[in-house]
Amino acid sequence: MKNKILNDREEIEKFFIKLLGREIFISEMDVFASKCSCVGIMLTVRGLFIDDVEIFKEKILNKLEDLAKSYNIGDDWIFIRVLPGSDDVINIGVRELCDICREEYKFKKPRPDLISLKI
Amino acid sequence: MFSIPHPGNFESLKIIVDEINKLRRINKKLRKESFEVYMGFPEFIGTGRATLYKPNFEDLAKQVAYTKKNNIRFEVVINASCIGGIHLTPKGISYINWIFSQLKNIGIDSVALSDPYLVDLAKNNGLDVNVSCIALVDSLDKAMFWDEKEVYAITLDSSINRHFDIIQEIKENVTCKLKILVNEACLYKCPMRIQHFNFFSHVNAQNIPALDDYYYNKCINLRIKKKELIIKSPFIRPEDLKHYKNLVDIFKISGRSHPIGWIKRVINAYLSERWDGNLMELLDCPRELEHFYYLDNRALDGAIEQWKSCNKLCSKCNFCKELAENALKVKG
Repeated sequence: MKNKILNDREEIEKFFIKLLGREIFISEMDVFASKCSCVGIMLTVRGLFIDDVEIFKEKILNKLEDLAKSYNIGDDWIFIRVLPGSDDVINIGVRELCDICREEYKFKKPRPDLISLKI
Repeated sequence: MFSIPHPGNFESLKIIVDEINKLRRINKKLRKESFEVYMGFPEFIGTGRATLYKPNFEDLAKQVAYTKKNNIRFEVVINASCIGGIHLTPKGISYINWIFSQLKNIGIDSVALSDPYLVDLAKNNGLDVNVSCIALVDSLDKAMFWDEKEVYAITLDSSINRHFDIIQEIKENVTCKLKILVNEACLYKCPMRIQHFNFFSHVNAQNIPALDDYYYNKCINLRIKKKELIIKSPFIRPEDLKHYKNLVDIFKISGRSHPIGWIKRVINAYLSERWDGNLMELLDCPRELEHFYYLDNRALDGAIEQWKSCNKLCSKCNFCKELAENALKVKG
């Protein structure tokens, strides 16, 4: 599993670099389980902007869905988190939601810094 | 009146207004109730909480017009606890005056501030001022200081939420409205309160690359170590609002940095004055523990009678500790 996460971090970084034709840095990829019973994957990203995600939304969604599937994690919610007051994307997440979080996040913008790509 | 947290973007505002209008339709009592929304506005002045969106003046003007159409007040929060002295420089004064004049032109109903100098500038610009809870008004003397500035309202320091005698004394001696935070569950008399607000004030406004929020992490650790701290934190349950109705004018729901789904849930509970289930799900801070602790709201029925007469000499009383043992369980 350790090697899989290491390889996947590298692979998704290469995916973004190839997709956008410029340097994108995925500094960290986390596979997590929350106390509430949500599970998911969180990517810490630098160099990506909201426009990039909107233009390549379908390709990015496909890639994230495949990534989630490879960990047997549901892709109930796929989202990005932006740096407040900017167009910089700083996190990309895929999350299998518990009932409470589903209620909280079922919006296009559940919080001003979160943008749902798929819910 | 209820003061409702607004994360700042128009999409969220529409969801909040829809929710208020829905509740007005189904609950007769709420038809006579008045409402305001409040949102952070982090210019270089900053605010006391994480602010996740910074609207421009055009966006803000549209939002204000929308709330007015729905008969809802609009308050902007600029309540940094530290501005680093910039506000007292000639450039700082001009800039803040410019911001206040823009807010006045847009039609903002009031601005929440914690600095007396900013209050004077805002008043000079014709704005109504709500004194922020960050001004830590916990005594009559402090309340009188602000009341003499003819402010619209004072938000009391939540540390006195269960000091009914102090609230009563303030109520009897000021002319402005009193506002009380109902679900901000910070530590009672938190020793880190000022430092935490100072930290937020600067990281909000100046994009400081802070490594971690020491104060928040410490707060969570303390509550795991001593769970009675959760009971002692001065939240007010939805069912207990009635005990405050003759004392305060505005019930402020805390939580403008949370997801809109959470805000909807909390609005529903407080406007209906009823919540069955885990009270942790309504408390703004620290939300991280709502999945760890189950605080049975029904088990707290009647506790307010004890708190109303409590002298806060905790070493001589185990009421909150015993209540924590009975009402607060670690979730499986």
